[in-house]
Amino acid sequence: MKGEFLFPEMSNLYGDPANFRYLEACLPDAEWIRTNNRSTPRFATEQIDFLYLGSMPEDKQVLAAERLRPYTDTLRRQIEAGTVILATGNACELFGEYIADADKKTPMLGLYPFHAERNLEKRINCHLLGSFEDIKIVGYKSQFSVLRGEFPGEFIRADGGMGNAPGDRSEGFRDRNFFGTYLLGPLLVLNPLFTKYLLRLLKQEDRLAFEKEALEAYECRLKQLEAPNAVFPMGEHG
Amino acid sequence: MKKLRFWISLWGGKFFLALFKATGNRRDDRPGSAAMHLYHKFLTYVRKPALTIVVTGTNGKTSISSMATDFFTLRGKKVAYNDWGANHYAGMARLLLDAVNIFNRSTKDIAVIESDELISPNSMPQLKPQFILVNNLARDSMIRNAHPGYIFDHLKKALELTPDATVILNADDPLSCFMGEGNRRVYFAVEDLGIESGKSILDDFAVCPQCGGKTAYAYRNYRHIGAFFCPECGMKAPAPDYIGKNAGNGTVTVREADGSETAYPLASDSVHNIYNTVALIALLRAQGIAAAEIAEGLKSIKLPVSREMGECVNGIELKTQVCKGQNATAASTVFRQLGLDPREKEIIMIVDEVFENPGKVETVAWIHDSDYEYLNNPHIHRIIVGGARYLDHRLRLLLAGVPEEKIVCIPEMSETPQHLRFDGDDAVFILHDVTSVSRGRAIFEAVKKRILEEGRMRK
Repeated sequence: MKGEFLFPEMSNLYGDPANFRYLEACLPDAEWIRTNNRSTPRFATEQIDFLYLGSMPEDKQVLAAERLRPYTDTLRRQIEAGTVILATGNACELFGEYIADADKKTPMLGLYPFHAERNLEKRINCHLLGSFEDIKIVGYKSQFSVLRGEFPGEFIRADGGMGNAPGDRSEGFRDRNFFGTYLLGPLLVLNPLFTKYLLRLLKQEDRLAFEKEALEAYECRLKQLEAPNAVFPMGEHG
Repeated sequence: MKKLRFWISLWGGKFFLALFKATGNRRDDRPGSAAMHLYHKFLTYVRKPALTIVVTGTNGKTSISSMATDFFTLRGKKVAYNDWGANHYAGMARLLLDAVNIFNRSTKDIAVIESDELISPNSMPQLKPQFILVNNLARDSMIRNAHPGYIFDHLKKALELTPDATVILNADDPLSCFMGEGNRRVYFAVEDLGIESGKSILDDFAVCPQCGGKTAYAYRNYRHIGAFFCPECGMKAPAPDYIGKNAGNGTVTVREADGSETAYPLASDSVHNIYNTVALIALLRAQGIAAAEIAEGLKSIKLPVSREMGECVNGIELKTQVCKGQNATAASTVFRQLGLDPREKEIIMIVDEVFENPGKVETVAWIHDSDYEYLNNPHIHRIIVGGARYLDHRLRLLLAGVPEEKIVCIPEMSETPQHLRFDGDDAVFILHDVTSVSRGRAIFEAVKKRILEEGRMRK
């Protein structure tokens, strides 16, 4: 089992690298690769089972797209072959057609016919309670952009909090085993049941690091977000 | 019409200020908020003192502003200062309401204004300061501040709009040192402190902003702060005008561009406070105040109790320390300092921010961005975490490798002192958020009471 974290030196905001670290803790015997933006991605030259890309500053999105562009076809083939891919936070924007910011359009990889609309004057912050298949998903969103257009499939159905755009209950996108989501931070730590699902997709034993403690923290958060008085928009202090 | 609106806002604000002071609510921003509501350009038209200093940047604002205020006050100056960390429009307006009379004439000599970075493009041109100190930039709350690059853009714009201000910048901070191109710039730095930097999970300066290459350091004092450079394109830290060296045992020596050196007292030996103090020295020296006078003044200056407070009880060092929740770099700096501290200790942490509204659930992204790994240390006997997100902290501590038997995580902050064991402790640290200063002090008193009542002694 090989997992690759693309561009960890810049795709490292908001606690997102904890997703990769948590899988490392769950599967200590697997090979975990961190690929700098100056290096050739390993998925371009060998079989990689899990690919991860996380939140990054807006200028680094341009650099990341530039670095990945030569491998767009390879990425498409990997997706079609069922490679497990997770893109969290604004990394999900890289796989659409472009990012629109005021009157400027920055081309992205164009794997799917959606685009991001960014407004740097308005940060959107909310909790999310949703479901993926029969798994309840909890998490946070903190972003300048929304996604619009056509998505290959739905990842999460939002029951509380915002989906891909205001009024949209569909959060993120899914294409086979590629999961793109605006949920950021330690998504896999916060959602042990989804992490177990990913481990099974990776054909690994679905035993988590500190599983009991992770499940207790998950149940506690889930209970709070399912409470009738739960507040989904986030204030200044979270 | 504008003038009329200003006068109404001034008099209305002054009225509320007098009312609030009379009812014992001196540290309240609402008079400032009223003035801003009555006229949104209040900050533009209210008279500023002859000397206006703005202190901004991610971390250290309150400590530096407080020390600067104390310094000027000890010299007999009348200083206006938003000393409770009220660094938004209302707090600034409250400060300046107190710095003028009803005829809008200055009643203070100096304004020391702690300013939020995000509002700076709007607030800074209205405040028209002579000096702006940008202490550093780092990750802060993702909810407000997104990431350091986003804040850099805001501060850069603010400085472009205040070209007459002298800007004091941290030459060791690659995230903030390149702003202020149109201003007179004064740089401070600190030489290699020889502190083992340890491996951080955070790195805000891993990619050269000029060429995208991998950055390097001649030395790194903490986090991304140090003598940085890019081996690929040659980008490097600017030459400092004031550089701190030989810090420790309560003093720091500052060498100036002409080679002269002066030893200054330190209020705290912690690495971030060494930087805060050198920043303050650079700010004061840039105003032409003699080095000897600054050194004398710093002798009697302490850090604000909202940041740090300590007492030795039966030989056990009992200390409160601010540890900002939602701010991974501030928390990591404190954790690193505790990890490097060789004293045998127990730690109480109350760092959750949301505890009053039961419907609110706090994000814990920041705890997975913070270096809890530094707390996995043989000198730390026990870590007691109290607060709503206790289960998340427990999981994070376990993932950081802290042995389960050292961890106590409970929902009630007030019950944390009961779990101390005093098993050979030299020190007990109480880490609290900026929003829980009074809770931190209450826990401090409860721990002190336990030490005295149970006759606990340092072994």
